Amino acid sequence: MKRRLKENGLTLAFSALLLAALVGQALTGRASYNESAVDAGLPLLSLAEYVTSSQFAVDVAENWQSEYLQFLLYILFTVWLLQKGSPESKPLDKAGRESDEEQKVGAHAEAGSPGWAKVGGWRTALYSRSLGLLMGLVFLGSWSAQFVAGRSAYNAEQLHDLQDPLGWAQYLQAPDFWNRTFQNWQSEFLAVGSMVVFSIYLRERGSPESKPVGSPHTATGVEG
Amino acid sequence: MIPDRLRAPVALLAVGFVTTVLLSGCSGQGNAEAGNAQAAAVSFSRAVAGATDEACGLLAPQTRKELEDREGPCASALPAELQSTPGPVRSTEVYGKDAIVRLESDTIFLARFRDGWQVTAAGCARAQVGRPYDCKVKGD
Repeated sequence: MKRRLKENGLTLAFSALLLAALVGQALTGRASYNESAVDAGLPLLSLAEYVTSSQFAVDVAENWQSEYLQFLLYILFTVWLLQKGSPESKPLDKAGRESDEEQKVGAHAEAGSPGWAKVGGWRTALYSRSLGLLMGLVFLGSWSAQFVAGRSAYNAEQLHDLQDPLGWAQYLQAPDFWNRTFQNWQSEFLAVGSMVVFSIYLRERGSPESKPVGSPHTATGVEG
Repeated sequence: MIPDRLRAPVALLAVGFVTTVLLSGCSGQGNAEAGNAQAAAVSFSRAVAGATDEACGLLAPQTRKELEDREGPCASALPAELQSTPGPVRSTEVYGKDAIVRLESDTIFLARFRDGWQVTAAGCARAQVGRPYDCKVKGD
């Protein structure tokens, strides 16, 4: 039991943080919504109604899509783009998909390699891109969820204001949809970009996201 | 970056969430509730002429208060403000606890309170596309 906890510490810690943050978002989001509803003489939402509302869904989805876009771009960009001195970058001579030997696929697979890395053909090709594909699919799904829930939440606001709701095509062109999108994207791009640059010069002893403390600033593709 | 061991559970959670939102979003038009909102709007509109007490009972609290503050008791003020020819329903849209019902002769806004759908604004006409409706009866 203790060993299993130790071996899955990251999963458990982030799962607990995710749940705690979602609970916090639900409680504070409902309170904020109900404050406005009281002022306008409109119906209040119970907690159960709020967590199944489009207002809550759009606030969650807009953040999730940007996180998965960040990972998708990071996974793909780091195949070809490099950054001298950053542990987030591959060594400067490794840009691209690399050889089968380096990637341990097909004839170069090892005993412990995943089955689809060994078999070759379409399965190895698909497995070789599976991480990016999944991140891309989750990004598109989350963004679609933001669009669907965002329109519903926006239209509820429109009705509060005695205005006509927007159709799908109208909401696709609405500032609300794109503003929610861009404000999340910019923060993700800032976070990744600053991580790449900060990790050239700064260290976190013991973290695999950092170079070893004594590594020179010019060392690239070295993880602590 | 996300650790390897987190990727599968996080991705599964994400897929589950997205599926849930898409399903709830697609049913977010609230078909059952659209029927209830429409029924409330039609009842209200029919009651304005004959059963004024019933119509006043279907007004949302803040809307009724605003009307009575402005025009006096609801039973006499409401028929004076609104026409009583509802006509057929042209369309109904529901988003969460809010609805708009467009009748042949009127557009009515509603909200779903604990007791059911109540009218938040009635006697509404759109002066200009993209601008709020002008409503003869509405809350503050």
